[in-house]
Amino acid sequence: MHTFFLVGLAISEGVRLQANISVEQGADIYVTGDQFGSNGPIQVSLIEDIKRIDGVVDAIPRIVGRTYFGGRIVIIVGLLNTKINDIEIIKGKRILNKGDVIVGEALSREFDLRPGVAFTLSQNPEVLFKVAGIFRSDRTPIWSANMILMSFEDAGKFFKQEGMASQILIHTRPGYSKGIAQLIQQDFQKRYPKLLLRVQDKDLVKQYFKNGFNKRAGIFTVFYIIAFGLSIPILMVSSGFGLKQRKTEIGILKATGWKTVDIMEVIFLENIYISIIAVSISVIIAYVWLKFLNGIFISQFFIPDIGLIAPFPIPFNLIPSPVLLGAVFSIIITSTGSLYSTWRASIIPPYEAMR
Amino acid sequence: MFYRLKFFILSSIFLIIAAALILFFGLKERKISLRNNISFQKITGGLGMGAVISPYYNLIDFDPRIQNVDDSLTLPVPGIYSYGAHRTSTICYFEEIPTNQIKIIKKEAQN
Repeated sequence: MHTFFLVGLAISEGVRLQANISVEQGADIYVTGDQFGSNGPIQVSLIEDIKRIDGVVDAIPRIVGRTYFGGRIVIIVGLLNTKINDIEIIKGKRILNKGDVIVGEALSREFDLRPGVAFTLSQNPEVLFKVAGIFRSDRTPIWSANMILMSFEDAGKFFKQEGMASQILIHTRPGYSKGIAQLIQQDFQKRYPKLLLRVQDKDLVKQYFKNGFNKRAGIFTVFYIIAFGLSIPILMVSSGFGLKQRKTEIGILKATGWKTVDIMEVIFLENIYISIIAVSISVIIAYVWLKFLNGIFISQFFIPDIGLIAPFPIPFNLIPSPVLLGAVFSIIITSTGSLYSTWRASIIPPYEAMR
Repeated sequence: MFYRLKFFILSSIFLIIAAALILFFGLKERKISLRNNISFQKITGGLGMGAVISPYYNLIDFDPRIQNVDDSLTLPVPGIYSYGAHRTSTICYFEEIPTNQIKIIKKEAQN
């Protein structure tokens, strides 16, 4: 049971950590167009106006879209070449020419997309892409598994939205983001009355993160606590199975001069020992399960739509705190099951216990 | 008897050390993974939240920065039922946060 808990919690923590990095390392402000209440494209020409605002360090356009690739939904990310070429390539080379793309490892493996392979996508078959390289996605977030990275211009051409971006990412000086977000929201609307903008700052994204994870974060822990609660009476019942033999042992110890408190102490130490060994075994099994079996059978519970065997390494974070918590729980469970019955056996006369 | 006891003690020590090493190297590996993740997110400007890898239905499942409107509210669309992949995930569930939605302009009553 503890192994299940450790594996589940490690995956949960792994995903949460990745999401947290995504929020913290992202831009300070995201500006998009507003189209019928949903996010819409935004003119790249606005970047110059944004850059002039006091406190803005940088403003970068980005295209994020989705399309089908061999029946699979893939994410297309268009970035400026200066940015995209900082990504770690494990095979092939960086983006050098028009039409060059770099793909995630999972996608490359699934469709045999090796460097040099040319392909088109059904959404716009006129645009020919060529795989320049494969970027490392075993240590990057899970979302990069089905991702195609290309230059900003190529992405615009592919989606037939040249001169437009999905978002403008604004990096600001510390403490400026709130004011700049408000300024863009109000000033730009006045300056360009036909323009509808949607401005999100990091705090709002953090709020999403907090809400999104807090709602269900405790569910797995709640399962564990329920299982823990149920295990106490089960253990109390099961501990009664060996009571006869234990009673005889206690009777012998009492007859040789042991006091009740000494017997209780031995039993308590025995429980601590059992718990430490059980937790150690749990950690080893959990690690093998996560590292070598890629969280099989349990990862689907946390990451939907990944199939039985995930095509990418499942993120996990095996942290010491649940291990220690498990050891404490284990001591409580074993002690609850054994200390009371030991005490009952210890207070009766030795000749009766040995009978 | 002595050999059995020796084996028992040694295997216990081995198990405890193995578990401690796993936790120690796990933390070390985490640092490398963190470094790569941070670099990737810095370059791309922040992508992906939650536990969903493919935005099958609502883009909000994928990332509220990319589509912060829960499209499932505009469903049912013929042939599609209101299903969000994020709703099947145990560890997170993203819901639209109403923001920048209300702008009431109050005009002074003219006498």
